[in-house]
Amino acid sequence: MPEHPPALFKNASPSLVLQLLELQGITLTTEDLQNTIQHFNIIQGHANKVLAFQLDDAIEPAPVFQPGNGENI
Amino acid sequence: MMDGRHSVGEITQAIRNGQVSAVEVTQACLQDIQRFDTRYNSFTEVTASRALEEANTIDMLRKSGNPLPPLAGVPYAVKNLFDIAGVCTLAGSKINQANPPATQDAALIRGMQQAGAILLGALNMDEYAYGFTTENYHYGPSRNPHDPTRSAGGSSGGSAAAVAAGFVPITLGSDTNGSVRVPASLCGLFGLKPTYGGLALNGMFPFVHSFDHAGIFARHSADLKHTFNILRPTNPPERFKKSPTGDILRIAQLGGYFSQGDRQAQHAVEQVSQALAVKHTLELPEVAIARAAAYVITASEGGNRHLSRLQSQAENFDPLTRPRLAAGALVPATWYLQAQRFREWFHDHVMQLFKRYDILIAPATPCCAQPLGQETIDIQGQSMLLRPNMGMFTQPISFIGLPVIAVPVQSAGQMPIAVQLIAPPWREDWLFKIAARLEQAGVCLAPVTRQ
Repeated sequence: MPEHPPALFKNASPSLVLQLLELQGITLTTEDLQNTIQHFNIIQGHANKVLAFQLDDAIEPAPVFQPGNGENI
Repeated sequence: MMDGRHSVGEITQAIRNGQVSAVEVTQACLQDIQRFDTRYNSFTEVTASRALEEANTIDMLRKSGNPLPPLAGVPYAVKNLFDIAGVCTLAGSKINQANPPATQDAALIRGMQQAGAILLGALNMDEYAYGFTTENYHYGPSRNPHDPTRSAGGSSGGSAAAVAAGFVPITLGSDTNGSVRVPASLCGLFGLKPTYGGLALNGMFPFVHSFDHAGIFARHSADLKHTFNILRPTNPPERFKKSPTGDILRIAQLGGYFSQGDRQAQHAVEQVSQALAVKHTLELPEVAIARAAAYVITASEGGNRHLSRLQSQAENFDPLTRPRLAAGALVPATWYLQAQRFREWFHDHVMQLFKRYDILIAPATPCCAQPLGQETIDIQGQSMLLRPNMGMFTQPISFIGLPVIAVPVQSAGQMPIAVQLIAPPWREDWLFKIAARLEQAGVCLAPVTRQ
C-alpha cells in the first residue's frame, strides 16, 4: 500500500487568489471574491490529497491523445 | 386515458393496437404538463407544435399499415443542454440566451425520433451542469414531486422531476459526476449512466470532457433497457458484450468510504444486498483520493471551458456557479495532471477487483432529498456542505467511467433514495438484469407521485 505523506500546502491567501484572478483576466465583486477563495480552498484541499499520494513515474495521465488514422490528410 | 404515467411498453402496445392514437397520448401529456408542472418547474420549454407533428407522423404511419418503430408514440423530454433544432440550447444559463437556436437536433434526439418517440420539450438543470440540486437562479428551482419543498437533485433535476411526476415515461439527461444518479436517488427513479463513451454526446453542451456522459431516467428498468438499446451505437464494437448464459453474478457491497451515508442510505444498500443474497463486502482502493481527483479535474476543465465568459460577463452567471468556475480557472496545471495520473492508477486497481466480482453495490447519495436552500447536512454527527457532497458516492465511479444503474428504494413515510449497481466497462447488460430482478421482487419500484 502506498504511503500517504501529510498534505504539504497551506490554503492560498486571499491576495494570491486575487492575483491569480487578475492573471486570468477575471474581475469579481467582493462577495464573489470571498466565495471564490472559499471554493479555491476546497479544491486545494482535494488537490492536497491527490498530491500526497505517491505515483510511480511510469503512470501517465488518463486521457491519452490518440492521433487520427490519417484519412483527413 | 393513456399518458406519461404509463410505461413505454404500455404506450407502444396501445398505439400499435389502435386503442389510442399518438396524438391523443401527446395531447394528454401536454395538458398534464400545463396543469401540474407549475408545482415542480421541470420544463423550461414545451415543444408542443413539434410534438404534435411527430405524433401525427406516427398515426399516419399506422394508418398506412406500415410497421411502427420501437418507440412509436412514446413521449419524452431532454435536459436543456441537448440541442433541439429551432430552440436555444440554454444549458441552464442566461448567457446562452444570446446564442442562435440550434440548427439540428443532438444525436440522441435524432435517435429517439428515428425510433418514433415524441419530444415534448427541454428540462431544467443547474447552470452549465455544475451542481447537484437544480436551484437555478435564472429559471427557478426544480421541485421534488415527492415533496415540492425539497430539491429534485441535479444537475438533471428537471429530467428526474418530469419522470417522477408522470409527465413522460423517460427523459434524457447528462451525468458528469452524478447528475443522473443523484436526481434519480432523490426522486426515486431508475437512472442509467452508461460506460464513458457508451452514448453519443454530439449536440450536447459540454461541461467536463473527461467525465461527461449522456444518461436516461425511467420508472421501469425495462424502459431504461429498451431506450438504451435503441440509442447505443448501431454498430457497437466488441466492447458491448453479450450476456453470458445462466445466472451471473458475483456481487459485493462496497464498504469503508461508502459507509459514510446516513441510516437511510445504509439501510437501502442493505435491502438491495439482502434481496441479491450478497455475502461479501469490499473496499475500493484509495476511493477518497479518487473523489478528490475527480473534484480537481472537474473544477479545472469547467473553469477552462467557461474562462472567456468569466472574463467578459461574469455578472451573468448564476451566483452559485460563478465562484466555482472562477476558482476552477485558477487550478495549477500540476494539480490537474496529477489527478489525471491518479485516474489511471485508480482505474487499473479497480479493474483488478472486477476479476473477482461482477457487480458492486453502493449508495447513490449520502441522504435523501433535502429542503431547497439548505446549505449543510449532518451525517453520522458530522456537518458537511450539502451541495458538493450529494455526489460523494457517485463521483469516484464516473471518475473511471464505469456503467451504473441507480435503483430506487422506497420506504413508507420517507423520501426515496437510490442504490448504485456498478459493473465493469461495457457490461450494461448485467446491470439491466439485476435491476429487473430487484424490480420484479418489489425491492426497487418507482411509482408516479404528484405531491
